[in-house]
Amino acid sequence: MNFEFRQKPIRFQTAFAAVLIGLMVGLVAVAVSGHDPVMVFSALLKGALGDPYAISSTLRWTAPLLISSTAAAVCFAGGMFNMGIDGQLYVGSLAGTVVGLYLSDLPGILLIPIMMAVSMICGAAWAAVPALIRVKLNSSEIVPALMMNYIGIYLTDYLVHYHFMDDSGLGLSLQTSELPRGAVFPKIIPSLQITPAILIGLLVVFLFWIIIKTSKAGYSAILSGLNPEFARYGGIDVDRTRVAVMLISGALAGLCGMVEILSIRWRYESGFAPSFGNDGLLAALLGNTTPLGALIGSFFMGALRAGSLAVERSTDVSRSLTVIIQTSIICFVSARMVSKYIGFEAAANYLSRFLKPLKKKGGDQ
Amino acid sequence: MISGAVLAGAIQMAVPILLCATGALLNDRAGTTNISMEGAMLISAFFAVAGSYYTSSWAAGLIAGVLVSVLLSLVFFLITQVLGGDELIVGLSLSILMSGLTEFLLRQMFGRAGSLFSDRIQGIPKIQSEAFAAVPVLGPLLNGNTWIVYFAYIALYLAYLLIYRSPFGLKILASGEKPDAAATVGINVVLVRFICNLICGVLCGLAGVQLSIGYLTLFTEGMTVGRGFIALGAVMFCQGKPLRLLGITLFFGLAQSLSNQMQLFQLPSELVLVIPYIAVILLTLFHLDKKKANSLSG
Amino acid sequence: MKTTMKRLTFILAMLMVLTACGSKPPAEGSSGSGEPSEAPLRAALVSPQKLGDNGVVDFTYASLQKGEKELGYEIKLIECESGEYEESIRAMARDGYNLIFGLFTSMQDAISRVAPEYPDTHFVLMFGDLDMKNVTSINTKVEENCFLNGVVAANISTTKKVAILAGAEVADNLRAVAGFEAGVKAADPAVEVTHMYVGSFEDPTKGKELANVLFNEGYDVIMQWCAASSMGIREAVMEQGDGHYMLGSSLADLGSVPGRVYSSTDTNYDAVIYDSMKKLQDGTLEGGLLWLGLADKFGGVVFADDYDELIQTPPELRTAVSEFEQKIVSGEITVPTDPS
Repeated sequence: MNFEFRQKPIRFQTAFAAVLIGLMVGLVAVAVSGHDPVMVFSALLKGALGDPYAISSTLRWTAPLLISSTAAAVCFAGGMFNMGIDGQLYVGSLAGTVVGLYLSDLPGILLIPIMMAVSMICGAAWAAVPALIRVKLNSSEIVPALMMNYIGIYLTDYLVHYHFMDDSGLGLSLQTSELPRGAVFPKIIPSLQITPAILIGLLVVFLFWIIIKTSKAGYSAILSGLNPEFARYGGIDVDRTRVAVMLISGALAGLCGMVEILSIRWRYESGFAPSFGNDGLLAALLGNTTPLGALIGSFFMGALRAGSLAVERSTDVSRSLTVIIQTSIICFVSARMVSKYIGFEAAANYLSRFLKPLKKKGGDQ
Repeated sequence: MISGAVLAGAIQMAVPILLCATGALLNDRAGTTNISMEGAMLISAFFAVAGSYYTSSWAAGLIAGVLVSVLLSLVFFLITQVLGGDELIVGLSLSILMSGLTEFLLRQMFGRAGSLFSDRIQGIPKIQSEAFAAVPVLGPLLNGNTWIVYFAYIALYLAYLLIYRSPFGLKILASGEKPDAAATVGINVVLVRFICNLICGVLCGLAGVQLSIGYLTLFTEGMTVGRGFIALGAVMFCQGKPLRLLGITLFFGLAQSLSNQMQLFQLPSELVLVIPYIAVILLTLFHLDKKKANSLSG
Repeated sequence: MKTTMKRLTFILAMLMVLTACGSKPPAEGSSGSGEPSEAPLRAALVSPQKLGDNGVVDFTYASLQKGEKELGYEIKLIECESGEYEESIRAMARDGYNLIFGLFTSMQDAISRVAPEYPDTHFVLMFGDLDMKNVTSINTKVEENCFLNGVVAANISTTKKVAILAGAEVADNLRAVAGFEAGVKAADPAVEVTHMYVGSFEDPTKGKELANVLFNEGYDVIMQWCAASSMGIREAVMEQGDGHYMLGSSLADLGSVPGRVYSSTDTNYDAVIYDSMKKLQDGTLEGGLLWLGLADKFGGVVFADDYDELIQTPPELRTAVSEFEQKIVSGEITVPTDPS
């Protein structure tokens, strides 16, 4: 079985075709379920971008995705596959929240960075297990990371339940106490619920891009991912790169959870971030694991989530529809030949010839 | 604590994992990686219930479940081989797609969410035979199972025969270890992998059917709970040896069964429920030989 | 290539905008501000668990539908995932819903943050302790109902070993467990009682596995407090044969397995949902914290006789349960809320 993930560049046509196919699948699903596809899709768009509330909802969902998709993309860049983002997210953010509660006397301006740092350290620690399994035992990191997810979830539930429960409430929910109001993100635009989370998300993607483009470490990582044998030949310590990439991924996963808590939740609650790991993975894949792709992919999925919430509020269509659309797209996005087969290639060529002369870009394949 | 009931439970709980793992073993030896098994099990479980619901016959449910899983493996094959998609990405996204699809269909076809249970669903009959009961020690373990349970263990043996004792098996191994060399000798590697994928589809379908109309008679969203990935792990660890695969899946089954039994001891439930997953990690740490494991990646 | 990309993207964007502008969204938020006479009142139920749980969500939604039919409300059910609560509740309030129900404590944060911004909207939280002008928090003394079911369990068990299978170790489950165990002991101290946690409210496979573990260890009566996971218990109890019983936590359990479900606790969700809808219409809905128990005629235990011809409850058992009920109402017995 081959669990080595090698990046293959995706052409724009393929991605575009994949999105079209995904949306068409969704359209079919909607029609089959007896709803008016046009109405549903317009509700989807309106819910994502139609008014200031919709846009703030989109931003709210895009922010954590920016971080978790970068976590996934960083990992992919180094040739590793991090299936354990959820577990790292919970472990990291619980640690951060607990530290925040214990040090609640500190002013927010100190406490917030401390919480974020702690969450990153613990998230990275949780990612170390699958990383080391890959490097030391030369066995796939996918299943161990997945197991660490479950272990992380049960462990954090146990810790909250027996050690960090919120004693102010009725104890009906597995959650910690609320963080002091001074130690959470303020709202940038109060009426629209927009917090610094989106800025942090953008910063994370930006840093990812800078490091990949300009630094030696970034270059080593990419090389290790694309061709480990060649990288070793060139003197790069592939093992160390792999571990580093996985640790950074785990750190970002922890940060993702922490940012969500700081911006929206203000306390740690069991299961507060469902599918952030999965969605981040999908967003990264959608964007072909590049920084720009992660940005677009996160925004796309954030918009999709915001829109689907609105659709659920205003129609009878269920949410699983968006999962179908999303995953259909991902499925086809790596199918490089699909655009050829559906004739899109020809159409795109024709269109571009019609609009402006085609500029040939070397190595665009 | 290790009573007959716990062992019986272990044997039963190992079955879905065993079926998937057997299919994955074939794929693994043939050199193709299909991680959509979790999704395949789930969609089969759903259609098994749906088929049984509409016809009140378990046979219809069984056929529906297996068919849909085979269809899924066809789709996987199409997108990866014909359209050039990446196996890992397509496998993973198909798996998640199945999860969304079952949710959607549950609401669409039955107007329900969460789970589907009804008197109209007929489960697979459980076998109770005096011949089994008369067997010493193992007697109670053998009774009360659907025929799929017995088949799962037989299937593993059949897979062993297929891979290691048949001409086709040689083609499988060649496709897995040295596909380029195999192609030059005239082996149609793509066809071999296609057949293995199909068989895997059938087996995963059976696993899903056993989950929904074998052990229970209902469908719940997400009822596979990671079993497909545990099966993958099992195949990774077994390094191509069917006997080892059997041992590993029984080990998981036992871990799950023990975890249930231990609830009697009033330990914190989270610590008890986590046992099977820790078992997998421990297995990774203690089971692998670094040199041998080299053959698994790349 | 870059230019082609830009052009194609532009065209796609235009198409999207046109579609968005072209069709009207299906339900414009009409601003009903709580005046009962003109526009119909609108009530929303926001739930973090899905419909089809054979428990709280199903019954509250049924009650909501009753309000729609009998009181002329416009209703909406939203099933949320974690992280969406605040946004959904705020959106409903903004859309002009007059009455917003939140189920379970995880909604509490969201309601506490949205309620002050919409003083004309009334919120009802099931299982929480918010006390605000436009928020009513309603809690139910589940331990009292489970106490009574424990009495039943102790009486019908032949092996003198009974158990309760709950969903997770969260407070209302813990209260149910505590009440059940206390009831068993009060009825017959010689009966052994234990509890287990499925770990999920939506995993019937595990429910069945755990039920079988209990049955194999000689327990013959299991009370379920685990919503959809209890489907597995039903199967286990059916396969185990005569003499094995399940006690339910919702009326839908009665008669589900002929001859096996002896009784069930009864939680009157109408008192929460429908009554709130009526009170809002009459203008008498107030904020505050409520605890509903047997003394408020809320709950109790129902025997399966009317639902299942195979069950015939002996009169002595009915009397025994009745007596315990009286003692709880009068305060003579205080039911514990902590299983330790």
